[in-house]
Amino acid sequence: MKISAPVNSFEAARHLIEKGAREIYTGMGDDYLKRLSFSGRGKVSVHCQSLLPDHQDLSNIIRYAHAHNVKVNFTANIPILPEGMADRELQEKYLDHVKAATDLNVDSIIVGDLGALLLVRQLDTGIPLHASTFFDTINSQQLIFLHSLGVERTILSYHVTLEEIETMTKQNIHDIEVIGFMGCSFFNGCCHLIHCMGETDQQEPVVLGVPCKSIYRVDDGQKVSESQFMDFELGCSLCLLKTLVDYQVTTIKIVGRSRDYEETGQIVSIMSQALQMVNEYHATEYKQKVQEIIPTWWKRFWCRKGRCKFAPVKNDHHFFKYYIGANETLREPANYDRVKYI
Amino acid sequence: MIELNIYEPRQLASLKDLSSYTLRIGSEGCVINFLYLVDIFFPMMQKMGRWRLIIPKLPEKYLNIVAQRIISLAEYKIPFELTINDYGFLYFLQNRKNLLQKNIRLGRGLVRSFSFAPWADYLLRDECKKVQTAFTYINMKDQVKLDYLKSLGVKGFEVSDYFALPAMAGFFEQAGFQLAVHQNSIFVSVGRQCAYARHYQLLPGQCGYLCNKVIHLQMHKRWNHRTALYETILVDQEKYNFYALENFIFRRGNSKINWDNLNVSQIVDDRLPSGNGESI
Repeated sequence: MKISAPVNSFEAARHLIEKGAREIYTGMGDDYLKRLSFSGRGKVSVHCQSLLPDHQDLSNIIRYAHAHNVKVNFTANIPILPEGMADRELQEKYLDHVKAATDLNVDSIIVGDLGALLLVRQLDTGIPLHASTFFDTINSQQLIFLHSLGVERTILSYHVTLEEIETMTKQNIHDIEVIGFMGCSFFNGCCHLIHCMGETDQQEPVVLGVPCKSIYRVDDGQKVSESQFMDFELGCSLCLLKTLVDYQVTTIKIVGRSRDYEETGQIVSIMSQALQMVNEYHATEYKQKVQEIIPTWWKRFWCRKGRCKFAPVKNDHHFFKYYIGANETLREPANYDRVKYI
Repeated sequence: MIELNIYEPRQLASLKDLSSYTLRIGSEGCVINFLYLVDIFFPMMQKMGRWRLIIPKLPEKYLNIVAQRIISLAEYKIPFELTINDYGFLYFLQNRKNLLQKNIRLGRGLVRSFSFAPWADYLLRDECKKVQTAFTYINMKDQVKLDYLKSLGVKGFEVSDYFALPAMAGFFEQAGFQLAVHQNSIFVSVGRQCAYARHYQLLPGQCGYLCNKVIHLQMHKRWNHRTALYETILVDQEKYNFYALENFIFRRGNSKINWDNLNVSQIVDDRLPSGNGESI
């Protein structure tokens, strides 16, 4: 299993490769869009820094990565790509953008919209296509669907369960990538609480914040309360890393293109150490040993709050129990012969 | 054509002329609700009306169960149509030609627009006019995508009630796709998790369809992910008013559009706040 890390500059690429990333993913700047980008994020981070290398930077990143045997996945995963009123300028610019990156010899193109996938396929670049997490893949039929369109790897939904990962990897349809660190509260392919997508401003960089993690006044008709009603983010998969390796998950992805790369470096480093432990220890021993390398801040953010990804690990207050289709007893199969008319 | 979201058998008693409606059952977000509603309405489906089944995004273990239900209903010759919110399930139907005849639409779990974000105009403020215009449209306004979806048997789309629909309606009509508009509601988000279950301290599957009534949500404190602090809200509070129903989040739609002038079906759900306090 490889670690895939987010990169937004040459320095970030160098740092994260040193820390153990065996794949990196990044987009590229363009002159057409101002605040949005073709890469599934805005152009600027909450720290008011560029999220996207320019053409020359990307070229340098690719050269450096390839020299270190690291693959560069190109994020062309804009989640919505409609035609204009009477023209296709937005889509044409998108295709020019993808072509410019493929000319630089990226190793794959990550797409986030069915239309974009169909368009990029027509380019016939010969470069592997990856389906972004914006496709919200939680079942194997969707893998088969994406495979029929030429996709060679799918990044599963943030909201997939361990059981589903096992089922999907066993079917051996194509490569599976899972998101191992951080996530979203909702299916992000159909979420319109859009943030980190162009709102950043020097005066007020975090004007929207993260809407799903905010506190809401909740009125259910009987009482009014305040809570993080929408917050279901699950963040950590360290304890399950060995299981994911056993399932032959190809890549584990770390989310956070807008995070400072030194912070991301810490996460890559911990993941990298954990992956080494996977090879050294048996399952039970691994779960104990991995605790020793988790820093306090990590435990405070994820472990103590029960925000374990894919399956509950040890905290009784885990969020995972509210997943639909994860824990509940299945309804009996329909046998409508037994149903009597009311 | 008016389509009614139905969630209780007793609603049917209040409808005078069933032939003028399509009755919709299922869920845009929760497969547990889908199965529950299909099963309780099955006896009525055999006796009366035209039906549309709304199939949410399907976790792996529910794929076959939902498929079995649909196949059973087809075998009983019940007249139903399908709204699908999962590309995997749409692809699954490709080998079942009889089900492909079911006037398939894609639902709001797959049909999205930048404009459904309450603060879309703010995000797009510096983009050129052409980009701003394109991003007001739904993601299905794309001829390449439409040609492909037509080959999969898709006949139409369900969309939220928002300002750009009149500008798009002609395009979809010409392309041979029906539009159906959810009156008074703009889809905001849907999750795998059930916030209702957590709110009422229950578990999915044991929740007894408690999510069948609207919860009003108003943002109180904004999460600043840069400082990791809760802070005061900076944009118009009105933009942060949401509603939860089942496991999806929506906001009030733009009900000023005169739908009678457009060739679209209207989807009515009397659980939603309608803006003028009236329900059908």
